[in-house]
Amino acid sequence: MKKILTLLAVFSLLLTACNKQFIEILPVDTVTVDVLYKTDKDYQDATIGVYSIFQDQYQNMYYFGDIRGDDVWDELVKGTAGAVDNFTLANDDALLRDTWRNYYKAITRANALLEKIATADAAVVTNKNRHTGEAEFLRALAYFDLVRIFGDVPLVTKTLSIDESYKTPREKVDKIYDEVIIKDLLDAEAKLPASYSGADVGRATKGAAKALLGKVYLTRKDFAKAEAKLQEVTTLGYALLPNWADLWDYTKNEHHSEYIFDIEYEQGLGGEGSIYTNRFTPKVTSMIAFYGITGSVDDQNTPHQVLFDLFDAKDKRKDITASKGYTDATGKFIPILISSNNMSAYTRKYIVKITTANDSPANWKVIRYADVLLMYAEALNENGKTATALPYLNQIRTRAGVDPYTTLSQTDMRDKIALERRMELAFEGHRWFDLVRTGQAYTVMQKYGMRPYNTLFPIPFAQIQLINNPAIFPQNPGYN
Amino acid sequence: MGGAGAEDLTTYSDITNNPLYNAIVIPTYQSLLNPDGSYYPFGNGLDAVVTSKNPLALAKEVKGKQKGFGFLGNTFLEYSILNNLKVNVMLGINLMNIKGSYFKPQMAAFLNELASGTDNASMRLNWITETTLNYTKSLGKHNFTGLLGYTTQRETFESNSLTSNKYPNNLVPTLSAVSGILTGGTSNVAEWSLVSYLGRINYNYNSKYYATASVRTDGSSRFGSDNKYGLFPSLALAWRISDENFMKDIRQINELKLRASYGKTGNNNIGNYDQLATINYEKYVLGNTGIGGYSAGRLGNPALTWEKQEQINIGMDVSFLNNRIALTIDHFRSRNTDLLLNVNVPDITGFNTALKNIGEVKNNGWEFAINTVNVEGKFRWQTSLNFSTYKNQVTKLGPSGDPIISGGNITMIGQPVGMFYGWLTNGIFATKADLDKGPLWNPGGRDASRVGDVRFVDVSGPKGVPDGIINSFDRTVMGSPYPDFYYGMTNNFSYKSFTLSVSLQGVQGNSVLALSREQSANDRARFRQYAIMNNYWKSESDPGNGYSVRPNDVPTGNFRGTYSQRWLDDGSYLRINNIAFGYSLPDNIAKKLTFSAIRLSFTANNPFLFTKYIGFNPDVSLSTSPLTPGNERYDYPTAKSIIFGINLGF
Repeated sequence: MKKILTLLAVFSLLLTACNKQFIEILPVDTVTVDVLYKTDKDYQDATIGVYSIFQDQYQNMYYFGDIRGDDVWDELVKGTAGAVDNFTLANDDALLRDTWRNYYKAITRANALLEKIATADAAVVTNKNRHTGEAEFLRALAYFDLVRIFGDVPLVTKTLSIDESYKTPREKVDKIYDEVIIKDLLDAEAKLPASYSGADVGRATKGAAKALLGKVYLTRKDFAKAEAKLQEVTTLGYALLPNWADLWDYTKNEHHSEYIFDIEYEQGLGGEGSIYTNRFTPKVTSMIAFYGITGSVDDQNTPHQVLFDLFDAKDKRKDITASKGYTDATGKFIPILISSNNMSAYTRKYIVKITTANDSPANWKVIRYADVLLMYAEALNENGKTATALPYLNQIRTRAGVDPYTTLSQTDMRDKIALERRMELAFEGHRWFDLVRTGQAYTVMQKYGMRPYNTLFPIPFAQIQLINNPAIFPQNPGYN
Repeated sequence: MGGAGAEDLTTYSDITNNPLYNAIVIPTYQSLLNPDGSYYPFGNGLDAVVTSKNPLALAKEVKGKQKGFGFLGNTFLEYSILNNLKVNVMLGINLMNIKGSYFKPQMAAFLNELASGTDNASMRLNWITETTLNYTKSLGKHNFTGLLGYTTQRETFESNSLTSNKYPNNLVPTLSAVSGILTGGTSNVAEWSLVSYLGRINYNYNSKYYATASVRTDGSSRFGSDNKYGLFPSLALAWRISDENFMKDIRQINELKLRASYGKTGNNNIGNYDQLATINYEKYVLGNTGIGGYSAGRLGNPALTWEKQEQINIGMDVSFLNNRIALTIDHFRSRNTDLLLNVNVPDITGFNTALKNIGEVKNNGWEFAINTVNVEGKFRWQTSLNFSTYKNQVTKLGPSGDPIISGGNITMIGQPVGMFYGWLTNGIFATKADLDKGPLWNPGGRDASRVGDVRFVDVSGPKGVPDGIINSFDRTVMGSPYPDFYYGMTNNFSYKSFTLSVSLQGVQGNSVLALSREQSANDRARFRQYAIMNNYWKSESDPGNGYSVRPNDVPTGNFRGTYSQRWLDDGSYLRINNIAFGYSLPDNIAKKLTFSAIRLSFTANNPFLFTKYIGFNPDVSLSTSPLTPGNERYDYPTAKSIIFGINLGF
């Protein structure tokens, strides 16, 4: 043995002596990013990196879109959710930190892809248009959410060095819309395919880009362009599901005629599920057992009484949207006992049997056709075409089993559309942004503790501290 | 050559599967077992308690094992070229294989989570070669030795892990039960290499004056192509004063030696490929199936290079009274530059941290050791005592000098590395009058401070001065994870065939951030709490112990503010870490029993601990990052053991 080792020693010396390569080691189980972005598959894989960050971020969307508004509250006033609800969120809260970080990660990944693909040979990268369109769509979505949450934000459209990042200012919201969001969506709608098949279903489509662009125009009160763009969406073959409850039946295909763009989640894939089911279920043991929900539940996202009061008794959306109990196997309604231990009401939109904690198959519906119809009706009405708008609003009502409206004045139509959006889209991350978009936020939310500057959230404190240059990177008013 | 070892380790990467965590959070009024002997399911049926798994079931039903087998060997070859010139070639090999398995069955006591299992294995191979040319020469009273050397070292670590939660039942714990449906798997290879060239000259004159000079250059695979090598010189001098003629007559002093040294060393203790912009694997759901992809995992930094430390040390060894008292004193000062730190960078880069050579830390310290023979003779008593104290201070950091906040620790200029950072507290608001004086958390808000809530200290505000409001501006350095001093003592006694040795060790003056207590107090008041919460605020006339707040179901007054002085405990302790007692039987008795010697022994390891710290173990060592020292989170207590032994000589 000793002899063998000695021989080995001498041998290894010969091998390694004066060999510069000896201390050049490249990883085996990963590669450096510069060897990628060559083949079509490389770019396809890179889009996955952009989509996947939205899976993280959209688990937070209910804080911004729902809890912040009037229809949903945080009944138990716990932590971040309580602070979002009652307008006391500290500027160093992890929700803000993660949100900022997630969106800029998405943007950085999209930027890297777009920089590389710009010079790629379309003969090699055969789906060049599609990959480009997807990255643009996702970058636009990230910026759209960012400006709606934070207002002015840094405009980053290329890979940024650390030194540059300290010198990049917050840019006006209008500039972000003009120079990236609208530009990206216009390009994406031209480049994306109308639909996908097989293992590509779920990627951004032409319809998704048009629908999002319509929403962007509507948000900017550019009603003419909104009407035109949303009209295009109505010609693409989308249709409301006949049975509204099927939207929330996760044993059925989530990519149905009403689906336009979702953030996709699935159970049993090792961490690809969503948290919504566990997060939004009250801690009522018998109910948890009845639904078959594994893992702890979080008592978040309580429907407020004002939401219950909106619905007509015969509205088919009522019991799924907001409920104060459950109907057991014998058909008996078991109410939630009022207690300070658990929330007293919940939404059933995300209820499904869960076999692994926080691994729900429920997608987050970023935009669905009902939303498009209501936005189209809104755009038409704002453009003075109230009568033309009416049938689009009534499509939604008829499906819900409630009486359609007959003639309405422009003002009434505006109110009815807003009301219908609350009933149709509750718990889908829209209410707060609708309130802000229509200028109603302060009027409605004042009594819940909102101050006028709360239309925007604070910039994460750590970023303010790090960049430490109020001239180019100030905090939002009211949060200093 | 040779050597083998085995180890049995069980790790809990997920805190909710940690029996200790669950044992702390479950309510004590509920027994762990149902009357029929089954485990009580804590997650079900008790709405008023925090969701937890049955700790007894975790300890007994979860099968987790890591077994290791290692091999350590080295061999060398020596060849004399000339009388005083030799070549040495050495090869060392260190091999460690670990094989592990884990199985958690599905049961009500585990919240009915699906049964899950893991199978993992790893192999670490580390080899080193060392070739040196040694020269020795004596000319009269001048003695030289010289060395030129070359070493290479390489480590390869391969590991893989497969997991599944598709078990049909709890009967078979291995992955063969899942019909090939794996829900997770990794396979990793990590390698590093190091090449060094070194030269050293030792000189002494008449064993009175000593000088050593050395220089080495190390190249590490972990750094960027142009920055792989670091140059590290050193020089050491010593003077044995006691051998000088003028000292020869001072009989009280047996030995007196002065030492001084300067040295520069390098640190490459970072990840193997941190210089490179490697990718992360990503996953998304398309077509209802998981689709893999990638994203850039970090910012590459080809300029990354060695962290350096320069140190000056002066010391003295002295012994007197016939060597009955020996004293060693050392003082050092050092400066670390080009620190390898993960610093925060603006998130708009797409990354929140980047590894850089940044910053500078200064250290200084004193070390004292004294060995005494207190009693000589049949009864012998010997004592060794050591005492040391260290200080460090960050002097430079990052491009804008901004502090690095890592959880409850902060690293900032002018302070030691990783000081505790958070809100200072000043008791509770015992009365309405107290509350009116403030300062308040979120005044006017629904969670504003109320009577019975914590009173924080108003340190600052948005304008840089106290503003009567508690918010993130009031966070400050609230304590130190570093002891004022460390000490240790060993006493050895012997009398005839009896021996007794007692050793103790302790630290004084540091704080511990007790995150497990923070977590339990962070839950609602009706959940299980530490006993110190018992005498809580009940009313203005019964304000309790002035520490424990109003029982709080809906948090107000930032009670749950994560990092505050409430969770800082005194980490000082004195531990008697070893008592060993031995007795050798008289030879004639041993001989009668046909042995050459019989020795009986009794050893107690860690039998006593004296501390005010209320957690299990004040000697926290949970975090490996130098930026987050002193964090405790469900640390296991130090094991106590009592060993009886019989030594038989043949």
